[in-house]
Amino acid sequence: MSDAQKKEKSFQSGHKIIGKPLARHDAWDKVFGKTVYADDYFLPGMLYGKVLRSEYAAANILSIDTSEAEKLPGVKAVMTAKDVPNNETITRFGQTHSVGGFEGLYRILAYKKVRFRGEAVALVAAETEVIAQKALKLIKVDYKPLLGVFNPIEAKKPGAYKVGESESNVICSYKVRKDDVEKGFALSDVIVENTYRVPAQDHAYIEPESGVAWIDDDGVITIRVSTQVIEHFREVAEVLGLPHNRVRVIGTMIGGGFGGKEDITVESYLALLTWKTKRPVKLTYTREESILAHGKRHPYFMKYRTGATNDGKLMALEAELISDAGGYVYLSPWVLLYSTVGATGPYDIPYVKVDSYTVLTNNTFSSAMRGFGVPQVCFAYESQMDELALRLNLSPLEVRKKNYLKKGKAMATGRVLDRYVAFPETAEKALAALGEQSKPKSPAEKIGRGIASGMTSYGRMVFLHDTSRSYVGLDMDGSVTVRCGVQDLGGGQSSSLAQIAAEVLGVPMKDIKVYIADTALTPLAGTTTATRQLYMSGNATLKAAKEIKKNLLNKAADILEVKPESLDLQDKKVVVKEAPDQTIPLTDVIATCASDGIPLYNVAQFNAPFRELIDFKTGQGQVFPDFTFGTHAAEISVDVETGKVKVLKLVACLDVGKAINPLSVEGQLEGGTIQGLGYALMEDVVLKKGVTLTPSLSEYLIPTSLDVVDIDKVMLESGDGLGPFGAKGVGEPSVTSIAPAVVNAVCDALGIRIFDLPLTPEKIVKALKKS
Amino acid sequence: MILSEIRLHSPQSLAEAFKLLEELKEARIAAGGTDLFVDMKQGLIEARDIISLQKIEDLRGIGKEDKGIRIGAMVTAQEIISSSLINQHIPALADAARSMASCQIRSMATIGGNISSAVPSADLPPSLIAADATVELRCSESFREVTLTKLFAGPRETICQTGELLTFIFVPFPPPNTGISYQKFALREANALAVASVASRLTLKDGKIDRVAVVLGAVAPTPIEALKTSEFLSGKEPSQSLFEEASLMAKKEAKPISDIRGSIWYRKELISILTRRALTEALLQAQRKSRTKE
Repeated sequence: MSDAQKKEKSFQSGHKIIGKPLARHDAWDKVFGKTVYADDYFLPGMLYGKVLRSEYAAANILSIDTSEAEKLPGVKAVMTAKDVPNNETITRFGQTHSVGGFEGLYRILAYKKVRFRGEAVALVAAETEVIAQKALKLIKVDYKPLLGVFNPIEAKKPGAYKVGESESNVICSYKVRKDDVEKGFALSDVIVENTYRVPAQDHAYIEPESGVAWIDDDGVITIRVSTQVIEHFREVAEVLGLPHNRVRVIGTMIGGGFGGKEDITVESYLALLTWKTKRPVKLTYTREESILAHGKRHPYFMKYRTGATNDGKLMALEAELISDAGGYVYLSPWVLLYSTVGATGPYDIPYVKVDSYTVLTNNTFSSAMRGFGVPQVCFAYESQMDELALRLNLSPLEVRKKNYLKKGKAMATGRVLDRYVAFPETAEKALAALGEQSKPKSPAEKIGRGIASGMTSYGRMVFLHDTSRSYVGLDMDGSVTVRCGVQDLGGGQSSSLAQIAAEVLGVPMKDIKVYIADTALTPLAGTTTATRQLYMSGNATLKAAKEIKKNLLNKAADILEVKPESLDLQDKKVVVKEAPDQTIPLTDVIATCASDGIPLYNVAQFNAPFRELIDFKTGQGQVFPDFTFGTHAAEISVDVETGKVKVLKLVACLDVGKAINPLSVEGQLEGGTIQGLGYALMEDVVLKKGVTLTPSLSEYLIPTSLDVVDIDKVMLESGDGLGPFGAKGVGEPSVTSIAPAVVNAVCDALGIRIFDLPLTPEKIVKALKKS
Repeated sequence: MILSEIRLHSPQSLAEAFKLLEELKEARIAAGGTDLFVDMKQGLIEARDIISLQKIEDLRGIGKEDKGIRIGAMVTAQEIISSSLINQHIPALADAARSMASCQIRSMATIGGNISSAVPSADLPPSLIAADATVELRCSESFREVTLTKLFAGPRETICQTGELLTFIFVPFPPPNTGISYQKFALREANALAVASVASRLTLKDGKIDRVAVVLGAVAPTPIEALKTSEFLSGKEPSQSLFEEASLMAKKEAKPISDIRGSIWYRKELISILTRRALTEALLQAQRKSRTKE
């Protein structure tokens, strides 16, 4: 190859920074413990806030006496519902385009009635944490315990105890109807019918909820908080009766969110206490308080009836889904919608009937958690597929291959999949990656293998008219500043933006500075939820950076007297593509642009496709922008005497579209796999009459590093995603199908099926004894 | 409970410690602190004064004596795991130590603390009892030696009096042709309390079971010896069917409660499985020892 050819090749060779496994720009700080999190902030004159929480899951509040607490030296504020300017709000959904229906009552502090154990009843701010703790004990609340209801099936029945004020416990329900499902069953040779149950799961982030608030020199209530949604500044302003721009939320680096910091956690309490005392206030939950007080993954009861022909073709699916919303509405209607749309899984089924309900109970409220209703139904439909495989004498892979959706085919909701669908590819690759089956090491051990496929949306529901904004600016010396409201969960959300800007502008990563998550100073990028940030703020940043590049290349084209299309940016130079040694230093072009008044900054807005609400009576229409498809495979060994499951091999195979930073994507795949493994084998927020029996991480078990094996990560890059450079989202898709893969493996080993999670050793032994 | 409000005392010798115990009757004793500080932070224990034993050299060290091994109360779980003496003579104790908590906690947790806290699911007591271990309880004036079974009075209760400290544990060398095994069942691979555990010691003589001990952990208010089971096994020829029968007897001697980690039924199931496995492993060890002699 000649030198010129080599140069041209290096020029056209793909991306310089995108697709490279890079340590995130914040990685080393995290390793060395230098990263500052919400609880690390201290301000002069700061007070400590604490929350008094309800002892009872269901009770009337007859009276609250705060006089003793107020008298305690060092106590600066004690607040109850009557002290909150606007204590009640209606849960709205969507940060810009509000969607009507399914509004639920939501209170900052309990008023006259408590609806779950741990509900906030009063707030205290004091000079020290010890004093605040003592003050809590001095608040006298007179409760009248009520009956309560603790099971959504019970709560759904007419005449059940009313959790709310007077409205029905059934918050909402959806239907999907595709033709007449009975026709489908009539055409089926085999029908499999089962009821599946999944428990509440806790996010168990390493960083509990935390924040510090103060009033700045202009009287703006400023809240520095670990949150996935800085846009809550609007709700907080409304609680205080202030204009929106008089509340500022600054998001900190988050030590794990997973959806648990998607709703307002400490923001309102902080705002109230600082507003009342006029002093800075800090509030950090203990782990036990976090487990007690924040929303959980929705428990579901799922009745599935699946029909197929003898050669494995699915004919009919009938599902009834009931979720436990807990004491307040929060995001239950939306989680239910995700489950309803996802209830059929990635399969082409001609006759479908789905009915779903979400129901209030006096359990801890349920809300967003990684997967948002999809992991639950995936457990059900992937268990059904394996049951069908058994009945039909087909392998799990074979029965799935006969039914996978393809590009161009429609889901049961009528939505046509218009982009590449990585099935059966991910299933074949995942199974192959398991390699040769391991041999049992003792007579009590049985080995089993399982796969499970999932399809998980990325990007928000399209009727929310999602948008995101990002600012990119080039400084005189060629260094770059990105300002974006994106909240960084630890998933590399801010680092990705640096990579995108670096790629487009030809500037090294170390010269890019990203400022994030400040409602006053960074363009709002929307929530870090719904696996949307790479797609949305990534695209906004891409758009902004491209605009600057256009201006630079146009000016350079003038200078060099060539066409702009023949130029590119590389290593802080403008380069002629055909003759790479013809360059101008970037700083020269910048200087010329500056003096000619050409803008070298851009604030871009990226809009996701806007659609309207689907018809909830038939469930027909488009709900999501796109999906990520993947399959997990697992090999396990079970000790048939003790029921203990040991994980031998785990494979996560997903089509990620384009891995902007492969290291980050691998991190998501690993984390998602482990979180799903916990869901399958050991995680269970156990509530008895609304009281938690797993109050700390000693009882609520999550996998330790010794419970996991190296996870084989097989990333496919179809390039067919809607995100920058063809990327898809992976944050939630990485957790969807791992639990059913593990369960399928256990059931393969044991020859029996277990229908509810988690598969504890005791449950396994009991099931074996029964069979 | 905010730890900064507490007065920490660090005596440099046993004498100093006893003096402090005299003066501060309400003080709590901290060995590794891995149990005490957790309870204090949760508000389960309130104390103004803590007497730390960290600086007392006399409480440290693992030593070989004529008749057995002497282990200082402040020896950590990690030190037990890495001790060649213990691995050579009572490997079951090292196994038990390895099954505790996590490596971080094992570097701080002490054998004295694990015994004194008297938590029914504690990992070190069952194999110590199976090995006929004794402890020394010492106060400023006197000392007494107590077998480990006698030490435990109930959940989180020992016969240790105020002013007394557990100073060392003595484990006699197991007789020839003896195997000791510790089997623990927990719900995950680390940081998990025993749902049920069994330690078994088996001595062979002329191909028959001479002396045998079966100790059950986490299934009664204290670790208990399954006396009917060991009586049944004594003098008999070892076999899988014998061990099966023995394990069913042990199941009956267990008195577990139901809690979040396991039901009564399941804990009893575990006891029978673990007893059989402990006896099997102890037998293998005993047989190996007799072979090396030949």
